[in-house]
Amino acid sequence: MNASVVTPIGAPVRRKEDHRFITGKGRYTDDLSRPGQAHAYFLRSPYAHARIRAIDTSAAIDMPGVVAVLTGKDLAQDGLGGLICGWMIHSKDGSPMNAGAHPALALDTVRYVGDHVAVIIAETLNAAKDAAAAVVVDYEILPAVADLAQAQAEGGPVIHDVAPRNTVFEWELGDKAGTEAAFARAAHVTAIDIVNNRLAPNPMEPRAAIGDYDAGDDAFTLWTTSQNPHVARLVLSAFVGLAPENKLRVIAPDVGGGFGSKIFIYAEETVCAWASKRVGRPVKWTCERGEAFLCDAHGRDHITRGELALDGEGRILGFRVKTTANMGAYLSTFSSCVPTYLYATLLSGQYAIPAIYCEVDAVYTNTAPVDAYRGAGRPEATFLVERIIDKAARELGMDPAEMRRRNFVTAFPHQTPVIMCYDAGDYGASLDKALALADYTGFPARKAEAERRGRLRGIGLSAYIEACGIAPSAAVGSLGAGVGLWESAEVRVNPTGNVEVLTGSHSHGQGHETTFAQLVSARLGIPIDQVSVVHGDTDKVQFGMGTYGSRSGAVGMSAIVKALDKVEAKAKKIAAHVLEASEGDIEFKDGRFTVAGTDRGLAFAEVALNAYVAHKFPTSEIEPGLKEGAFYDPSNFTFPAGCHVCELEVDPETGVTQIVNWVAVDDFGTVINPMIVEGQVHGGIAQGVGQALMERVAYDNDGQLVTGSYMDYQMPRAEDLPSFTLGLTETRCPSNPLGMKGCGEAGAIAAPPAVINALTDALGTQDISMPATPAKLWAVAQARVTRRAAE
Amino acid sequence: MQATATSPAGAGGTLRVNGRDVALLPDDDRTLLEWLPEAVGPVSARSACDGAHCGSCAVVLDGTPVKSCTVPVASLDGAEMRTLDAYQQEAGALAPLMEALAGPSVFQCGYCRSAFFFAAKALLEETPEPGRDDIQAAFAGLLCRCTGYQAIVSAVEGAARAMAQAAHAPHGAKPVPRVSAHAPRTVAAACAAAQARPGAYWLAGGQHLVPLLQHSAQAEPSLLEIAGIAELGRIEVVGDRLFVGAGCTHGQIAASEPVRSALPDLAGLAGKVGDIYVRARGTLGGAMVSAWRNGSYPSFLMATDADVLAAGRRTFALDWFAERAENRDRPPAELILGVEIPTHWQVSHQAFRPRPARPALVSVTGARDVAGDLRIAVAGYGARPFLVRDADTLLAAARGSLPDVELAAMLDVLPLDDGEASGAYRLAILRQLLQRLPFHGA
Ligand code: FES
Repeated sequence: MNASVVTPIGAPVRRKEDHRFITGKGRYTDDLSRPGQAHAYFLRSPYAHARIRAIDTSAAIDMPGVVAVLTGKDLAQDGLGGLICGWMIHSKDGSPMNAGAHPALALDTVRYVGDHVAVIIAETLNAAKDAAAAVVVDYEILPAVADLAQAQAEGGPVIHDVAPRNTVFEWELGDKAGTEAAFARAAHVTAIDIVNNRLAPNPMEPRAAIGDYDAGDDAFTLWTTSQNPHVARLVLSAFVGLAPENKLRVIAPDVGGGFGSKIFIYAEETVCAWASKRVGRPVKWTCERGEAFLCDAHGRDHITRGELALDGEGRILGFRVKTTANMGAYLSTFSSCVPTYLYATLLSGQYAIPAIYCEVDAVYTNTAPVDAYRGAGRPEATFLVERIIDKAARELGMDPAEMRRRNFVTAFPHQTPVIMCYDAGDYGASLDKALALADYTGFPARKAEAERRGRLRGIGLSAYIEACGIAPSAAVGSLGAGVGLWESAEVRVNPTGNVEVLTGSHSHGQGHETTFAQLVSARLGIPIDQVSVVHGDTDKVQFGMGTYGSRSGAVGMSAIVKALDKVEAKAKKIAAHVLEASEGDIEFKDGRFTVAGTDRGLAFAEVALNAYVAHKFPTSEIEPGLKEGAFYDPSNFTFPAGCHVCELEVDPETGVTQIVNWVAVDDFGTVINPMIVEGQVHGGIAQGVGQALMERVAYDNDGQLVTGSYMDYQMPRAEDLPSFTLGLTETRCPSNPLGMKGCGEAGAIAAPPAVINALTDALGTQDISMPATPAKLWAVAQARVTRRAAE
Repeated sequence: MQATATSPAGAGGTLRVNGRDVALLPDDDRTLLEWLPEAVGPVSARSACDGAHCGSCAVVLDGTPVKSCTVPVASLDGAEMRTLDAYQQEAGALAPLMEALAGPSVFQCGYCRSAFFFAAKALLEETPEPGRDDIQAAFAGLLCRCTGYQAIVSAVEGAARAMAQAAHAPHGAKPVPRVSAHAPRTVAAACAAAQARPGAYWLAGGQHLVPLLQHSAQAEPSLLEIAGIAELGRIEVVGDRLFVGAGCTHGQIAASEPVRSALPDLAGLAGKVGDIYVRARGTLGGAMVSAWRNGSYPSFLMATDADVLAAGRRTFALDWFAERAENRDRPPAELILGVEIPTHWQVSHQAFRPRPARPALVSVTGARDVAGDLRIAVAGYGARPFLVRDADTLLAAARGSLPDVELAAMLDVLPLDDGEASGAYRLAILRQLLQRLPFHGA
């Protein structure tokens, strides 16, 4: 695709950032160096729970090349506060959540293996590592609890004094009495117990940070792997107290994947920024993969019991859910909203459910903090809903597709009993299309053929929904959010007609530089190579909220549209003066301003130049220049939805699963760049298949991380994944100007239940947990043989 | 790592990086990956895992693709390496590959590019017209977290078509292994050097030394480079025996004509060791030392009654692996020269490899001679590889309806029961593999 032509929305434009990356010129944080920089290495707790009696740094300080050895006491001395959780959740009884202190460097207690004890700053990383071995820490080992199921036991270890029975909150949502009533009149109740396995996000680029303090300006610069640099700056300023915002610049250069894990404000970047002033030199830290397994916020980790009340015809009457959510040892930045407002609000799925009641206990354990990971709460909700409806269908002897169809929401807007109001969708359409693409009706023949080959074949559906476009600020504020979730944009038209777009969104693989430029190119009728997208630097870009929750299209681009509206309106005024016509007669099309009904007109660039020379319009009425900003606050969430179908075969003799077909039909509303959307869906499915078949973070009873490397933590590789058949259905999102819904998390949300439903179909039992490893499935298949023999 | 006096090739020298000579420091004990950004500034080879699991640090070294985290920089005096950056400047015959991988949304965050470019390059040199499965297999030891791989596989498929149409596919002459000037050239010299440095590790391909190469507060390992010893790279048939030098890479063994005709299953298993990077550098000797428990070579060598030749002695493979199991925590003191395998067998090697690029969970080799005598060796089932006592009876039992417990009793080896798999599962897999052996029971 030629970059010098105008690119319409919906065109598969080559990504602008691809050239930079293929030339190896991508610049990630670890590629950067500051003159005179020193290297930081963190001494981490080897124990899951221990009191620190004393830390002796004297030997380490004397080691060659060591610049400083700093501990939590030094941080406290400089008056720095701890890390925060930015979303207040209240328990059923109205009490605020029990949030324990979260110092960036431990003060007197360490609470998980990997907790930060001290930082060693030295001329080289290896010198810092050598010195770390010379720091003497006197630990008093305390009893630890790593198992979520045990953490609330009376008389067990207490991780934070403020949280009795390690309970952060006991929260509820929905209509308890109404739900009880639904169960009272149910003809059938289906119950399911689910463990949603704990995952490590694992973007391939490890986290990194460089703190640089300029004594002349008394100002800090922090380069860091962040999905939301402005939020990082806000937290470091307002809560940690590092420096006022005008004295702190946060830059997130190219970021090599995030999947949620780079939203949060962690100890390491906080310490690097602070320490750079303390030692008077830039301080650089790059995470090693082993440290990432220990300390990057993990995802999921729920234990849930769900019960579904049904009438005699398979219609859902009510849904009752009790979830225990593992928060880890501290509340990470957005952790508290994940198992609550991002989870329980989606428990209606694509279905009209009259009554829902959900209780969630959030619990501390001696493990790494848990926070948002691709999908955040919504995969957990979808997994529960799509598993229990499948199980209900089997129990009632109904076809799982028919069971879903019977319960679909069909009229919009639809108010669910759990806050969300679905604005648009056509769930039947995506189900039908997916079934057709998957040749659902031909499945029994394929199953029989597989059986002859000794393979157990199964097909599984997942009709997912997610709430994206996060989020209307007033709504989230009323639910406890500490921030608004609007987005900002500025469109700067330069005098020669090229354009810079400054966005508060952040790209770490999603291709915003292309999609956003494509939008501007199409709207202003200028070639895409004349549009630059600027993001990720708090000194360049106005305050913005960053990228997560599939919000950059629906919210970030809506802000750009709003700014473009203003640019066009002003440009029309200027064009009217230059063309000596009335403003109402000016039309803008294909990059030209024309006087309606005449051939008189101006190119966009000519108007831009006129705006800056300001010769031909009264500056008392119209300000010179052409640059407009906008803040867009969404009026509702967006609701991408769709249907995935997974078909697979299990070898009963080895338990090995082979996915033989995958169909994904998604409704993302308007699609700007189909190739980017496909890439997002592929990557999401891969992560979802990973959760279903192989990934899990495990701790032993002492709280030691068992899965601390790629040796033990298995991520999908090329051979583990099938080709994907993708289809789209489209219902426009009515709440934003482009009609976009978001696509970043769909695959990760849809995939796990599709895989497990297919496995339950193949093996004829509902008793299959994630990750469904070959060894586990082999045992299930053996039990099946024994069961059959007994029958 | 800190410099120590015991590093190989401690005299410094130069390494050619993307066409520019860069001085090496004497006694540098960093890996190539650690050294690169500090010596030449940021390049597209980047760190992303804790050692050889992902490929993001890949470069091409003397024509061979390597994960740069597996190479001690001190061994590279006189070598020539290129990063992805260099191919962008000058892709030559690889232009279609470069172009295809730069296609829309093939990559997302871009961090992993080097892994896939160099694996694809190596694949296309071996297999100019690969199928989708070949491409996926070539990516076995690589990680991308963003894309789900499909777009990358499709891009390489497209590039292969374009390159196959071009008059000359990029089949260069096979790269000649290069060794630093200071490395010993003879077995005698290597053994003398080892005597002077007790506890040193032999450095050939270096693939299994990765954990040792990472910096820790412990003393750095001492390394003795042996890649320059011609004798170790020999493959030849002598009478009814095949000699394979310990310094042969898995890739060389897989591609070797003598191996393919004498013992095709040996070529086959070598072609499945690790991933395309490991096969380009990792050696038979290295695998015998590191993958002694569940790798595929032990069962093959034990079943075929091979001899292991070390400097100064000859041992039955059976005894050699038993010794290895006893001394698993120590580097082997002796220099392995190679293996000598009788070729009069009909051999079948069966392996169960549930995770790409990882050693088989369980593998079985059966070897039968013209007289009908059958030997079966098993690896990955028990704590160490073993030769089955009565192969014919076991085979018949595995095929019959004998319950698993009784089969286990016949084996008389306690199955491993660990985080990877239960004993019962290992037994079931072993039974499967035995059933796949193409021999009729006695
Ligand atoms: S594109 Fe991000 S890891 Fe491969």
